[in-house]
Amino acid sequence: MANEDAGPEATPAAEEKRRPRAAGARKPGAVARAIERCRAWTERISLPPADWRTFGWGLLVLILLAFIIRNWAPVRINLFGWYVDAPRAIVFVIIFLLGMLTAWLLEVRGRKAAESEAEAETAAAADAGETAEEAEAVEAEAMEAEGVEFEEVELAGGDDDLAAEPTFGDEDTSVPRARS
Amino acid sequence: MRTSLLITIPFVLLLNSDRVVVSTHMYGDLSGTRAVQSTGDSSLADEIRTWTREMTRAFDDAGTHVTGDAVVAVRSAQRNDLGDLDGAQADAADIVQEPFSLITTYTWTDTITINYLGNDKEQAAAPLTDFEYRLTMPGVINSTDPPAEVNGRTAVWRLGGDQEEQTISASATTVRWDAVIILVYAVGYLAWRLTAFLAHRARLRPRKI
Repeated sequence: MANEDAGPEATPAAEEKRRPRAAGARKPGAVARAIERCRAWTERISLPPADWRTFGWGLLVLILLAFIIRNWAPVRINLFGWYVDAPRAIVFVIIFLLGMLTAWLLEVRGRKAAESEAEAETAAAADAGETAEEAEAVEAEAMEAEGVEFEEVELAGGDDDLAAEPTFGDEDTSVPRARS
Repeated sequence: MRTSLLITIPFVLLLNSDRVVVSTHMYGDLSGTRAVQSTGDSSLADEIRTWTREMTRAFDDAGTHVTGDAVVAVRSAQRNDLGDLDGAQADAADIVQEPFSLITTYTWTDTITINYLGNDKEQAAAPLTDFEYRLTMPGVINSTDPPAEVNGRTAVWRLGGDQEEQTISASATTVRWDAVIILVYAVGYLAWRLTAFLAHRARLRPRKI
């Protein structure tokens, strides 16, 4: 008995053709890839917030552009009979950049001068320190030769550094005392 | 020293050159450049250069080009205010003069003088000489006097050498695009802020259930 539901083409080949299949993933074309790339690129763009600050910056940019366009008329720059006609806005920018360069060079020069001066001061201070140490050593030797001795007295505040520092003389006898 | 850009064309230059072109380029800030170009036979190269130099003493030398049997001598000058020139008048009704208009109007008037020193026979050839005056303005040229070939911002007068003094004038208009764009930007932003504020207020209003 023939299967009535199968219809007239109930052959195995036709059955194979009619069998539902999962659609295979197709590789996207060049256009689709380009669109996808553009979409990914535009998604990365984050627009600034539309607040008053952004509006002010936009207005400033527009005014600057208007300034540049309004000053696009050429100005003649003469040099020894040669001349060049350059847009005034470009000349403004070049002069501005030259001013910045000059300021930067002056700052670098001033910084170098300050550094060299500081180095010279440090070297002078080091020399002076050595001289002072030598003088103190000579003075101490002279005092030892005279027989002056130092007595260490502990300060009331307990400051070890100050207590350890030998001091002598009759001006302030309360803290250090010298006996001969 | 005050330099003059008054154009006084030596008739001998007109007579012995193939073509003399005076070009004036006017910019929106009323500054401009003026150039004189004389074309003639290369056998008269030195003379054409000399006559062109005499005609434009306050100009800078922009070079002399010899191509085949023709020589072209060019001299040019740049001025920050074309209205200061002798014999010329340049005016602009810009945003300062007419703050509530979106259009700027420029006018230009210039007087060209031809220095006749030739004899009668030479002067008889004056109408045959080729003298061209080109004017470029910062806007579209609306009217010229005498009538000229107008192509957008440029007008060309073909003047003969038979008149000792000729006055030309032109007027041009241009839209103040910079002011328009800034105005649209500011008004658009204010409108957007107002809309956002009204929408926010409408959202906060309690609804009837």
